[in-house]
Amino acid sequence: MLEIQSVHKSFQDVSILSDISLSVRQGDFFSIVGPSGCGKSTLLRIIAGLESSDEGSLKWCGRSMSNQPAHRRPFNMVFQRYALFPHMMVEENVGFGPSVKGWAPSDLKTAVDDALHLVQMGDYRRRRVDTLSGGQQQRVALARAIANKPEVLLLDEPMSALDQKLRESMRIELLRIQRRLGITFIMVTHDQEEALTMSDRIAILSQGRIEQCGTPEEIYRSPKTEFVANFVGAINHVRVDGGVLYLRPEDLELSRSGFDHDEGFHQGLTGTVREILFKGAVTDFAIDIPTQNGSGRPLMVQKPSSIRHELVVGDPVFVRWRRGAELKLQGELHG
Amino acid sequence: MGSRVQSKSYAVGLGAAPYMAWMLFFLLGPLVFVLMVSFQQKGLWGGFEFTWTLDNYRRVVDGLYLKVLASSVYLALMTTFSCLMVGYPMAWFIARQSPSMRKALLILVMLPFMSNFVVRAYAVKFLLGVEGPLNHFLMYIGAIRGPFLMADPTLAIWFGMVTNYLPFMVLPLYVVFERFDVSILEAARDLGAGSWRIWWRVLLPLTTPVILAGSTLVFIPALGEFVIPDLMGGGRTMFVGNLLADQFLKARDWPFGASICVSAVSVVALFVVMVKLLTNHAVNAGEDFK
Repeated sequence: MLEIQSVHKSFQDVSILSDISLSVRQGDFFSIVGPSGCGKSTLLRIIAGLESSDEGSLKWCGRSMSNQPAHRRPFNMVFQRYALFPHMMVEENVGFGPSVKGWAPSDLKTAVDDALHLVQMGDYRRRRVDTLSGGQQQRVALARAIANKPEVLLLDEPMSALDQKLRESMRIELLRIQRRLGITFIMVTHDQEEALTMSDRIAILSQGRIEQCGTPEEIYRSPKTEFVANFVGAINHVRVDGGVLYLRPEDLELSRSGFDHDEGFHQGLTGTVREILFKGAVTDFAIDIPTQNGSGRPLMVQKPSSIRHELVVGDPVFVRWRRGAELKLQGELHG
Repeated sequence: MGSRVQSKSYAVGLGAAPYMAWMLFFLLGPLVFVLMVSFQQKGLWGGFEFTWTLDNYRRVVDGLYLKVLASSVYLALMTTFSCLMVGYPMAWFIARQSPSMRKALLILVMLPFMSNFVVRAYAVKFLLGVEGPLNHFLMYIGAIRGPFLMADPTLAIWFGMVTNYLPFMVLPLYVVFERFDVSILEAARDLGAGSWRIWWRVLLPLTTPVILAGSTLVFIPALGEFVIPDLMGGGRTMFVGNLLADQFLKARDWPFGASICVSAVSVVALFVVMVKLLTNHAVNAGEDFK
């Protein structure tokens, strides 16, 4: 278990992290997510030992790590832009850690072989790293960290430099490697979708504070704050009976002809279709609801494209949602 | 396609024409002339007499002048090495400052270029010299008994050389250090390397090309320097630069001066070739490293 307790960090009087407390279970794929500038990379660097915290403590399996320098921690990091050694071949890069730690040559060779095999880069051992593609460099960076047999692998935006297609296949790849090694992965990302799909648990960070920590389902279905609700997905603000309800676009249903009465649903909203946005697998509908005080923001509704609809822009529509689908946020609600 | 490539190369050739002409008339021409003169005989009233001979080179390899050449190479190498030792950490330090601080420090590095060299040399000579305030002060408080460092001409010359050539070393190093991706060093630390190991296995190999470039920039002019030895050392020590200047301006022995010149140029050429080989050998990754 990695325990972070009341960590504070500021740079030149600007607070970067305030009162961060987290615990990460052994063997978990844990993600730290937040918008850029929220302090997530700093937090990862504090865990790695590349940055020191002003206050707070860091424990791994009961041992305090706060005063251990980076190279004495059983953690290794995959850097955002890989930070490979450009003057070394692939195998020299991967063997760098074991070699400076003075491993026996046979152990070093096994570690390099295993790591390269795991990331499927065994055929590239004698290539110079700058002749590799982005995806291949990313694998080498991963292998270089893994070769040290870390107990925790830290990943700083590991896929931000890859294109969309590669990123998706790399997600599966990373999960496979994590399961195979059975070690703890802590990943920093600004991509909420990436975090949701890959993680066992997620911490959402905003302006140096933890907004919420939980499983992807908890974060998505029961966000504690409006920030979290907004960050991990879209939400609609619907004013009903003097209050405000927060609804996910996929929880709303549309009909041109109206719905039959059903106690299980809240209905009674009507509007017109402002825009239909076909996104491939899903289609977004922007609905103008005149009774919503004309905030200018349309109601967003998302449906799988496989569900046929005959709606066109300008059509009047009825909107309903299942009672209980609304998100229950805690704390201050601000529209 | 083919014609386009061709016309483009013509244009490039045309653009280089003024440069080629300049080099032809003002570099290659004089060089060939000097080479030719170095094989002639000294004229009675200066200049040279057109008679082929190897005598000048026999004099160059004669013990005394070879010694002068050797001490010049030694001084140039010492200057280069000292500039590297001072400049490397200095450039690294400057590159790691905030942008505004960097600018200020760079101006300080280049400040010597903005004042006249002779004035500057005399100022330093006065300040640190045997009769200078520092020497008097140190003797007054009893820190030293006799005259201070600068009484030794070799030290004075060395000091003047390093002061003068340091910017040539610092500036190229700074340019590379400023763009250096520090996360590479962090990765090395993360993988378990201590400071010494990071420097030896990562930073040094990656900066070898620019170390060699900076060394070339210092070594070449340092080898021919004759003003600093004259000013700082009081003209008591002979280097290739002074020797050469004397042959042309005082002894009026053009052919011998020319042969010294050819020898010095050969040493520089040898140095450049060695650096080139070292650069290719040491790190071919360093060159295109960003």
